[in-house]
Amino acid sequence: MNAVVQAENLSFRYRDEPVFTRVNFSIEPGAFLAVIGANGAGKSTLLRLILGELTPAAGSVRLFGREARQFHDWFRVGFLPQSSPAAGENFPATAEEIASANVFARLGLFRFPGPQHRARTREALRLVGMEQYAGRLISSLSGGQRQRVMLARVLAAEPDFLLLDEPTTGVDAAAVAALFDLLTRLNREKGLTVMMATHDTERAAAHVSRVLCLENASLLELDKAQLEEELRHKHKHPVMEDGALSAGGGL
Amino acid sequence: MTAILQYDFMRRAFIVGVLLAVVIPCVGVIVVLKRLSMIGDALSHSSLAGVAAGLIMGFNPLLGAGAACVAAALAIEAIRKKIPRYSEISIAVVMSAGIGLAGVLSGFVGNAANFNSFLFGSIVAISNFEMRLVIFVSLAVAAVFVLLYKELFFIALDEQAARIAGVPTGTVNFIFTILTAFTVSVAARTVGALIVSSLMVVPVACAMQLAGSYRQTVILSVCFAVLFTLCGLTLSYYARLKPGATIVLTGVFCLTLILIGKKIMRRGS
Repeated sequence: MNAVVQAENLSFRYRDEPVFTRVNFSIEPGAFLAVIGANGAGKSTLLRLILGELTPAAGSVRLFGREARQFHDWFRVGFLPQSSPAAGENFPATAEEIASANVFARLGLFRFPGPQHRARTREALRLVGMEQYAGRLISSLSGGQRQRVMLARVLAAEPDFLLLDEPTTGVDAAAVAALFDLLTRLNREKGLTVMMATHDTERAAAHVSRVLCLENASLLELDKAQLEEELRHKHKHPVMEDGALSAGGGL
Repeated sequence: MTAILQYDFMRRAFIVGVLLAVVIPCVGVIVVLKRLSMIGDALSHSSLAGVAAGLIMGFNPLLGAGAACVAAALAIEAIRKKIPRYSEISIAVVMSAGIGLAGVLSGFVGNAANFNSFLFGSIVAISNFEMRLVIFVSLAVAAVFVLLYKELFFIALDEQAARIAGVPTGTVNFIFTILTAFTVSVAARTVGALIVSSLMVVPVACAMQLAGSYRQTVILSVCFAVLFTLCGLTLSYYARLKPGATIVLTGVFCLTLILIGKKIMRRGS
């Protein structure tokens, strides 16, 4: 079976400044994985490379066995971008209308949705606990509720691989706990492969099966002992030279 | 009401006015939600350059307006891609270029009255050819809006997410841009280049105050635009006012009433 994501010697530069150099990793189907690292360490850049929005400076990143830039089966991938507080604030649409956008997109041009597509939207809203808000305007919902509607939108298209960029930012603690529970359940019960970029190492570590750490232009998979060190702000990357001062910027 | 309709030019004005009132807000909803409200202004001002060119060189000014609008719309889309975070810049640049060109060219137009009729429109003086053009463009816009309803909604909501979800955003944006250009150029002839963008934005602004969903926003926008057109045309006939300007003022008056009404309701509850 193909790896969901396969990065080989992946390098990316932002104007001459290396973001990361020769990074290797692969994500097997059914994995639940977090990418941690300080703000600006390149987590979002890594996600955008996987989504084919950026071109690698060197090396390759493959999505379901295809070069990300040439990938076409986008319905297999769900992406929940970092939510900004203003997102959708004044958009005149109901939770249900927004949640159905991805399912409808999957239909293709010039086709009209039928009752089965509406049913899938409803099911996704139920999954994120927003069913009773289906007819409400998105602008009347709280930030956390709005994020759940956005997640329902992505889940309704039934992706095999879910990418989330900083899903815990700007959301209260209870909503974060509910989100992790839901992702864990989808991962276990439906075999959904989940990759999340987060700086919330502590909460992520309690739920995910693998942790990748981006720091000083390198990517390191943390084992249990290293993760514990990271949580105590101490682990070191092998390429790092300048010692304790810049170490453990993970939080 | 029946007294007005015995005149052929008023019957035409009502037909053309209502057709445009149905399709302009459809374009307007997407334009407003994409935060490109000023696009109508930029396009209609650019269309004046085409009108002037047509009057100088002797081809139908409406065709000149159409060509200038399409060129301006494509330029906006191209600049918007280069500076995605500040998309208003593209509109301002194209608008100034359009006005500048129209200003220079209008100096060479022999019959100034002819050019002026495009500034405020002349819905009561349209030719057979122009009426057929309006009918054709309206049907095309309505058809595309219905066929691309879900894609246009997704792009207006979140263009990046739409692209990742597999919506061919480039193609859909291109079709929509061309459509906007055609709509603006035929509307410029009827309600006038200076006010076409208000017909694109004001009904949508009214609808957004009252609607409980996206679908309702679209339907209410169309209803408001039709209402403004019918009231505006009738009023302008009896009070001998300029029709295009009266239609738009009716709309702005209605929006003001809605905003005040909402404020009173909120205070009351």
